[in-house]
Amino acid sequence: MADEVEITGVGNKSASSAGSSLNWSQWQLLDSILPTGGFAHSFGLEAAIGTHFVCGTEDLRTFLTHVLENTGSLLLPFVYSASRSPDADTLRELDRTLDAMLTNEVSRKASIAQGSALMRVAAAAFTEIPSLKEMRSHFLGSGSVCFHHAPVFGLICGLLGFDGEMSQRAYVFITMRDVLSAATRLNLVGPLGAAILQHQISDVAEAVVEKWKNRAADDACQTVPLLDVIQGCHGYLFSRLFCS
Amino acid sequence: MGKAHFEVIDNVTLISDLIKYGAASGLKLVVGEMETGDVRVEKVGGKSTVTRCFCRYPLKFIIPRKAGSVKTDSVWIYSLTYGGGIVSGDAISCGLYVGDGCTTVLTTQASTKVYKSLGSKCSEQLLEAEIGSEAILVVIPDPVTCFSTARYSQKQVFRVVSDSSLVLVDWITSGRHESGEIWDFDLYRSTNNIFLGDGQPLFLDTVEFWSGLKQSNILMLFNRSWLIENLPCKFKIFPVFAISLNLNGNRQQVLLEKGAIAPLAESMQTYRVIAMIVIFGTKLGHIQKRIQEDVKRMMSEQIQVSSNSFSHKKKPNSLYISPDKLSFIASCSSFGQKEVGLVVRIASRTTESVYSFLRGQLAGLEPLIGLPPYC
Repeated sequence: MADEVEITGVGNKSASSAGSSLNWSQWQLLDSILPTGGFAHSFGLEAAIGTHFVCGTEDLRTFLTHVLENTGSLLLPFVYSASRSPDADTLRELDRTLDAMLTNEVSRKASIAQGSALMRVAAAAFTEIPSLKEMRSHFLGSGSVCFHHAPVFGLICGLLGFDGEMSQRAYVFITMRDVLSAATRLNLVGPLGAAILQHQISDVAEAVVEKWKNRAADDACQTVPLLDVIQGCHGYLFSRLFCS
Repeated sequence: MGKAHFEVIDNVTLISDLIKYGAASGLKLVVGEMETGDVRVEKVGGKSTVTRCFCRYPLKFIIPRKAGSVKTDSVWIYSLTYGGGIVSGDAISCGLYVGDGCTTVLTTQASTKVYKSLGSKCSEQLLEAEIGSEAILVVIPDPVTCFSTARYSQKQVFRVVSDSSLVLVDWITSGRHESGEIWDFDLYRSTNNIFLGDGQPLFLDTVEFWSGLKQSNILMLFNRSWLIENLPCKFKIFPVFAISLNLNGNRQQVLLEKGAIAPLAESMQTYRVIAMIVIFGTKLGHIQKRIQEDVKRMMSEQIQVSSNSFSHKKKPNSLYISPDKLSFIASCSSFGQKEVGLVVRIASRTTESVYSFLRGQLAGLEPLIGLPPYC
């Protein structure tokens, strides 16, 4: 009797500690302190300010809504597919497709920069998943993969054990986080204002996940092409704080 | 010609499944050639010549015997629909082959009007074009105008080789402004895909606009035309049959129950026209370069960035008035190996300013195609 209880106790403990360790990895992945260079990208916000699309907080709210919706329609399918089959072949295929779909040069380069940095950090930090390091070395050697951000993010989520919905929600979260961080640095809103806005927008973000989740990469599309035009203007700005 | 016929079964989403089902139940899957239009342009006696031209209702092709100067070798194809527009439920699929060394222009006589949709039907157009070696295809239509509650989906797939040239203009206006229709259609979807000969994707772009209404049960078939590309055998099956079967038999519906989170009219702000120009091919490098320089100059002049102007210390209801939003914005991006392709995206308040931009930037095509585009 006593032995049984002990064994059950041990079983419970390892199940809950596996769950907790997932939490730690998840929080680390979503933390802006993770050195993926996200702070260098404004997702077109700087260009939107330059082209007079965003002039104040209300415009920022609208802009952020549009960015999240476009992220949902264009990039979530890649996060979803990568998290469902987190292997090298899927990554190569998704990377190739996304490279052709990100027709905006500015966002394409930003995606590659962030994805490469994320892959590098994950391979170094999540050593319990040796395949990350192997995949990274293999693809760096062959040059057949650009390491676009969305598929890499999905891959890491999948390998860490997150389910598809969590991975997609997480991706929308980090997009929202990075746009607001850029907005603060561009003096569009203060840190407190950004925190308030982030909480208010979370309903919209959840609606985006619900609407655009679990789609195939071939169905990816742009829903706010105005963003594409604006973000493409980043290169025409006279002085720039951000890379994109 | 054989007829393609197959039963539509619940939950069947792949043509390959249909083939398997057909084989299992003794149904014969035979080649269907039921497209709405098909044109082949090949060199005959050293000149680009139409060697095949087939079209049936609601599509019509007009191919003038001579368009433009006698010195240029080019074929101009005007594509129109009976009634001057696309009616709810129309499904038009078209094949175009531009042979090695040939020059072909595909254009329209007037803007493509998409009328309001009846029931849950969606109108669709599909173009599959193949461009040969040293061949040029120039697609310069007038814009699409979707009327209130219209539902429209178009897909254009181009297969090129490394020395093909392609100019593609794809644009849409916000509707009949005089009637107060401003981005008032239910659905507009446009896909433009470019593949290299070996199937490698070069440019994959789909734009999808939804109105604020909740949509459901929209029957969309050509969006599944990628199934045709993945077909394991040489047969080509055109979904035109699938439409009629679907309406009679079990509906194979693509359920798209979505409302727009960012309503279209709001996300478009004051812009009435969205346009995209794709210029692909090393032969068109001079046109690409000129557009890039002109757009950069035009946009740089209009843009000023001053991050200090937007201090968060300003009260929201202050008298700070934001400068007028730009009435014409454009940006360019290269794509492909060695930047062989260029995509220009434009948003404008007026259709006329886009026509003017197209006239100016594509004037360099005149020596190649015989007439300046959009004049």
